[in-house]
Amino acid sequence: MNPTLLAGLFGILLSGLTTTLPAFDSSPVGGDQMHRAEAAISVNMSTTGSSAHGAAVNHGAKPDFEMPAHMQAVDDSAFKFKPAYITVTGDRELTEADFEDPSVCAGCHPKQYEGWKGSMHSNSFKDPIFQKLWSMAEKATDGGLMNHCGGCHTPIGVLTKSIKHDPDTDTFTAGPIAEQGVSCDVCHSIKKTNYLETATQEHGNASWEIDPQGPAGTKRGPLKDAVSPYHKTEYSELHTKADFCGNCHNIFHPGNGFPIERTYDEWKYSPYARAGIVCQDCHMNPVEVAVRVAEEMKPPEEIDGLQLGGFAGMGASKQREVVHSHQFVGGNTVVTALLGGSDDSHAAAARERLQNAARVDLQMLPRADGLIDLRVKVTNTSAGHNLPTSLTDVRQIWIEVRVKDDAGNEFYRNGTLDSHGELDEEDTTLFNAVARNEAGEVTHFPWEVSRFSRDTSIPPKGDASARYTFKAPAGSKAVTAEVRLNYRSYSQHLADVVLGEGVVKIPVIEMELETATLDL
Amino acid sequence: MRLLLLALVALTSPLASAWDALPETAPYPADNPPSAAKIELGKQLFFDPRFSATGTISCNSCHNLMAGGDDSRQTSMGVHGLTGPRNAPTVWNAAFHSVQFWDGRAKTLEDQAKGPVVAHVEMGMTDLDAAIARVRDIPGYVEQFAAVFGGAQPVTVDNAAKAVAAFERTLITPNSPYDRYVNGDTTALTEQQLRGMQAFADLGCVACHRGPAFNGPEMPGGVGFFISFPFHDSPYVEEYGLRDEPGRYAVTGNEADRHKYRVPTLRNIALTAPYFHNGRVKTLEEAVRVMAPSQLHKRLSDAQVADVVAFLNALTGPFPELTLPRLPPTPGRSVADPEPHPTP
Repeated sequence: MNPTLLAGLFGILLSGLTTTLPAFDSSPVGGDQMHRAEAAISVNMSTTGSSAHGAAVNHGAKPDFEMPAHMQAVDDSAFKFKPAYITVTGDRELTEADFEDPSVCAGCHPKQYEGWKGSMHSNSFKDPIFQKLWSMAEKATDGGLMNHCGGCHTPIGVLTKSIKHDPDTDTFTAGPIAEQGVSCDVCHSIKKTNYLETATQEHGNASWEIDPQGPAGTKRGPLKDAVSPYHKTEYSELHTKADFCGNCHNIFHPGNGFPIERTYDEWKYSPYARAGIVCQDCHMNPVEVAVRVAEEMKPPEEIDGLQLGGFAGMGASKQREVVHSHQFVGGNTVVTALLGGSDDSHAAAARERLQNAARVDLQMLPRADGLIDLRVKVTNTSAGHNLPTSLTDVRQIWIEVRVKDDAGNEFYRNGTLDSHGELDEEDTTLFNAVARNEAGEVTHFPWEVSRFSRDTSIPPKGDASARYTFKAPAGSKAVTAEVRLNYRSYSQHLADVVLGEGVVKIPVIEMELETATLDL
Repeated sequence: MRLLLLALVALTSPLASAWDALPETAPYPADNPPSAAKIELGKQLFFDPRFSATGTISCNSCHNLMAGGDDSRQTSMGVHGLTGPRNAPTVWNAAFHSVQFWDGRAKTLEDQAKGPVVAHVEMGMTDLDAAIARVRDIPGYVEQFAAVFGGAQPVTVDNAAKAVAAFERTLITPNSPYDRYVNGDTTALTEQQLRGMQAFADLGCVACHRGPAFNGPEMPGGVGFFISFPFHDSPYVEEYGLRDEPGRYAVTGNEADRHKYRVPTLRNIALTAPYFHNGRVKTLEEAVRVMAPSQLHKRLSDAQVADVVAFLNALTGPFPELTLPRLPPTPGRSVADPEPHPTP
């Protein structure tokens, strides 16, 4: 029998979704974080309150935002690359000659180079989906977001003013090193964070000061006694902290101040931050290490037997306890596969991360009225940020349920894709955010977002539950539920709208698969 | 076995693109395109000893094109038997260096060509004007400069340097056994050379000696690839006086540049003994032995040394045919100073 028909016959009853936050402890640090968290929420509230209802905002129209008064208090006249909070030591004018080409670094640091090449950091500029969205943003804001997007996607392009936008093809070009995105000399030339001068007084929107010194200049990193036969070295405590990453992995709308990407904030108010676990511990180590870190809630250096040591460079004399991977693996299997050439390693590593991030627990119980309850609990076991994170309004994690009777006939399904690869978002347990523009309409364009009307992303160590209720077909002796937790970077529809129909196939990654059987 | 090794070298090399063949032509700057007449003029100037103080030293004296492009001496001997502090780098494939001299003090071959003429331990002229005055005194040169460069006063120091540099850009040696191997001829290298190639990659030699000329990554023109030598301490430092001079520090005055040198090409390295900036190491085997602890903090077995040396021998290329030029004569007189300068 047609399972969809059956689902209709027996009805779908999806209960309310509940999300559990991990408890804050009462340490002074925790107290401070609590205060910050409230402040962040009030930003959302105030934006909602001042929105102009009824004004139709079309995709592509220039948003007419006013930064909330409390966010205009900071004097940002020192910033030459607004709205990015980038500064250059000594206010120098920079050219590509101030930066090392990554291929030079590759000679002595082949592992780091091979890790980085093909990573999202190396693709941050070339990513065709990013370029298309950036182009749309440029058109919508009369060039107002050039430095905002470029500041983190091509820092060298912004710094050397080499970015060229072709509105006809919706593409960008920049200098040869600039086009290599977040390359070696971006991170290893960063000197300090400008977070105290941002509108939110938090890390984000490219809030860093850089002091690049060209070939063989000073490279900054986490080793206190690094020596190189080629370049100068300097220890940088900042490179050992999550704050370093937060300078780009925390983005607020430069017009209205709304936090669009909160990865750093999500971490900062999480148990991971309180345990001293930083971004680098999981994202600059293999996935097995990330899993152990999350299990034991200790930084890698406190976990026995990880064997992360080695030489940080060719010809080095000193073994280091940890030589960091520069793959920076996250959840992106689209662009890493698209731009990774014949090498699938980055996409494969991302799939592996996703498959180790969460746990699904099932409970199937008969009810007094003869219906059956399936309770699905999804726990963010291993990510030190929300699941999903970054642009949570376009990312999708969802529960897919298929229930069969003892004859193997599927009589109930929920959260499955239709023939166009689309989800029935109203009827699916989705973990993500719904973003709305000033007019209150749903939008997927970051430059239009003024608030989230719903955010079901699951915080670190938090969980969310959903309940499905159905009736077993008459005469069945047992029912088996097959429950998947799925992920995709964005919906097929969004990819089709942005890049054109069928240009990119957005893969669905099965994060978890659990089954439960109930004997009747 | 050879095919297996080929696959091995390809798979385990730290950089897939590390094995590049030498191009068939050398790059040249926009303001000095080559021409047959210019190259011929440069060749004559290169071989002509009349622009040295004693009339005895030409470029070819220390950069001998009948041999490895150097002079086989620990340090070069110039006019009056004077010797300088450094071993002559080979001129073969110098066109592939992004800067010139051991310390990179010249950004181009054109700049480099002017240096030795007035170095008092080399060609020993008092100044470049004196040297170019001798060129102007030779009618056969004046005609050629006029034909190549034109203008009211074609015989200039800069034009002479351009001609010499244009000639030097033809002094390249592609198609060595190594080049043939990376271009697909799997029989071009012996099994020992293949082992050496793998060792060269695995040990980390390739970190610095990479790219088609084995002299480092592709750098912007005029930007050198300088490395501290010796980077690590070892008994060799004292034995061969490896830190007796300051290297690039003498050029920049920056402490970070102390004992830094431009990474030399390894092309034809088997033909350019003795070795290193001070020429104190007499054999290629010993040079390989010195490099391993000094730069890579490693010690090599005799077998490893032999393998690496075998591979380095595969970098010796066929040399282009050269005919000695006829130098423009000055019938009945000499333009070189007939009175030898007293030894300074």
